[in-house]
Amino acid sequence: MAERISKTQRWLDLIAFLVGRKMPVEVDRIMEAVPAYAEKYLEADDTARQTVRRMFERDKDELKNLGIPIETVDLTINYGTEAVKAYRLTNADFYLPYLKLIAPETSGVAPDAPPVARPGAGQLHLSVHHVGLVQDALSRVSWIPSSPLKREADSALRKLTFDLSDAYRPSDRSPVLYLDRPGADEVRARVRTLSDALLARKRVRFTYHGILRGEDTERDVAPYGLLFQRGHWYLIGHDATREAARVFRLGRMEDPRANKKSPKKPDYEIPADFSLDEYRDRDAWELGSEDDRTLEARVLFEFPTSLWADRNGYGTVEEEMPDGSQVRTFQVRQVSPFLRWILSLEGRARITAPPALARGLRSLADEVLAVYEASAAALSVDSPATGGVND
Amino acid sequence: MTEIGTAGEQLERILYLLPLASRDGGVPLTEAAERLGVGVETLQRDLEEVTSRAFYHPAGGADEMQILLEANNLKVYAHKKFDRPSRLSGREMLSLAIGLRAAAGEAPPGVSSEIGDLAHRIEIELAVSAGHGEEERYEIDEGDREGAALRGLLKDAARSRTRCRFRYLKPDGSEPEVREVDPYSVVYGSGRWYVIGYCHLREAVRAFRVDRLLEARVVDAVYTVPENFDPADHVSAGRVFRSESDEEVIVHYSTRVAPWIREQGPFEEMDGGGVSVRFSTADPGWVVRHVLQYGPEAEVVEPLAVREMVMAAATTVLEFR
Repeated sequence: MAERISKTQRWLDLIAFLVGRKMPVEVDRIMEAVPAYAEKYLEADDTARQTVRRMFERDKDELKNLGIPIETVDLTINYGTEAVKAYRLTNADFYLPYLKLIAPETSGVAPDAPPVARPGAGQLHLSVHHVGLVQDALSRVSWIPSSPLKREADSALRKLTFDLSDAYRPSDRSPVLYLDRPGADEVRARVRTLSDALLARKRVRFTYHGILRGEDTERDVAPYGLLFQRGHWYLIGHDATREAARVFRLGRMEDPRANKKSPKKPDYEIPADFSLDEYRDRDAWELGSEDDRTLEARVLFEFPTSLWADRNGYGTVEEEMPDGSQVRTFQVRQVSPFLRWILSLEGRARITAPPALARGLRSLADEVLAVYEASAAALSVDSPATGGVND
Repeated sequence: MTEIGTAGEQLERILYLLPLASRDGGVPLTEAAERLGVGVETLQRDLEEVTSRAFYHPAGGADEMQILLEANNLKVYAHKKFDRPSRLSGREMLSLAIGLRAAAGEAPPGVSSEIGDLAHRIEIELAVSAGHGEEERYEIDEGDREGAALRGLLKDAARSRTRCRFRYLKPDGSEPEVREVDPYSVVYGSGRWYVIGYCHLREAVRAFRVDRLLEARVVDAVYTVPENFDPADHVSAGRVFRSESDEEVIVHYSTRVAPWIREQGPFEEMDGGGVSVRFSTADPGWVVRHVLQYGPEAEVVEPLAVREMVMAAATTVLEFR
């Protein structure tokens, strides 16, 4: 009694049957040769045959997504009187060309000589430097927390290092470690769903927990892009209810689901002028709309905090003092986050202009002191015994 | 979902495993499993998918294949079939293009265009189809753009186990310090970069914030990483800590900022809608800077010494004229 043939086996049979044949193969021959199709195709029942044909079409699509492009060829047979569909998977389309390292820059590591190239299969020459770039690029995509393409990045790296000596193989003792934030597992599944929807241009619906209003809303969004920054994933897309582009943090999203109707037909187009770059990291005081009034703030950074501001590119240097301190200018749209940031520098940076902003910083410091004084007073009233503990 | 995963995942593993085991001498199953990031049992199940076909369908297309598994070693004879991995799929190419784009964004202009050319060449030569610019739909921003070159140097040094000398600026330092450090690990957590390594000045393993490294260079000295070093020992709830001598600090946050704090890690709800967080830190200065970022919306409750540090910082700012 035959067991059921698994999908993996069916695909493997199909690939093994087609790959390397020079001539396209007529569909009937495929149906008869691949065991999983033949079982039903040979029954000669038209409905069963149609079902198997559809199964083959789906297999072809799925295999294409997996990087196995079975090409459809229109053939005429019987002296040009009959048109039939035929299929082909050439060696050149299926097998990865040989990768050859050129001009090794490190003397200690000799690249492996590639095996003799298969006729028709190409060969790609890469320098050691380029291999390093490729490894670095794929590692970024693999290791970034909750990466939607981790599996593909790992697989690409394995393939691209297949011909190289062990010295170039990815090591599991990587010197770089990306830490997951709490809740990363839930986010991982959401990123994958949204990434799939984005690539297929399918709309998504989800419940969003708005942090400002503290309420949950149902959203219907056309995904335009996915952005990872400061350890969080964000979806940028067109929100149908708000009729505008919006940014959603994936950690605040629940149960995203893509429109499953007509999976091959895109639901929307991404506007040509949309650029994800515009949503990249900006400091909190730079956020806001173009119409917001911008203040130019002058801030004196004491030495050596000036070195740190320089190292991180905060503001623009306006003036350098002999003692190493610097005046730096900032274009401020949002005053409150700017003042709180300067306050967190504990007095190592002071606002020198405009005077209103300098006053704002002082009153913020005053508010902080008031909080501590009030709670200290409450504490001493509640439990006088602890009031004197100060060593 | 089990480790076997979808049929697509299984096929991907099989199409890599077959060429790997077709090479002279085959491949130890344990090594193949390690490369594929799965357990040996999963690979055995994958192999069953290949071998079991022949028993009930002798006419199957891949039956010319011979698979020998002796002890731990796997050897495949496939008669010139499946002796190479398959080309990069659309998504594999996409992942490479996204990574190269992120790298190009951090590189100087010359290197950036070289990276662009490389991506184009690989797409044409190795991938099954062109990506049509889908990589522009993804952006990986690892932060600290200004420190990209410095981070590259640290990663290379950690990879090649080479000591570094760097100028480091502590937040409360009166001038930068020169440190010699064996960089064991470069860590990204909560949107920041750290380097964890053996500090020759402190004679202990320490964590340094990369945004406070002013410059770094490699020193001609090679080190070994102790067997018992584990970067996870320096990490808790997605954050990096700097030493073992931790102190507990309790911070209360107002209702206004509580929603953001709840997203960041463990917390306790308080009466009235605020939240309370216990930090375990060796650097109370970090807590001071952290609470000041919230202005009057965050308050250190304990210990008293840290409360006084916050008040001293606020007083300094208040006295500016």
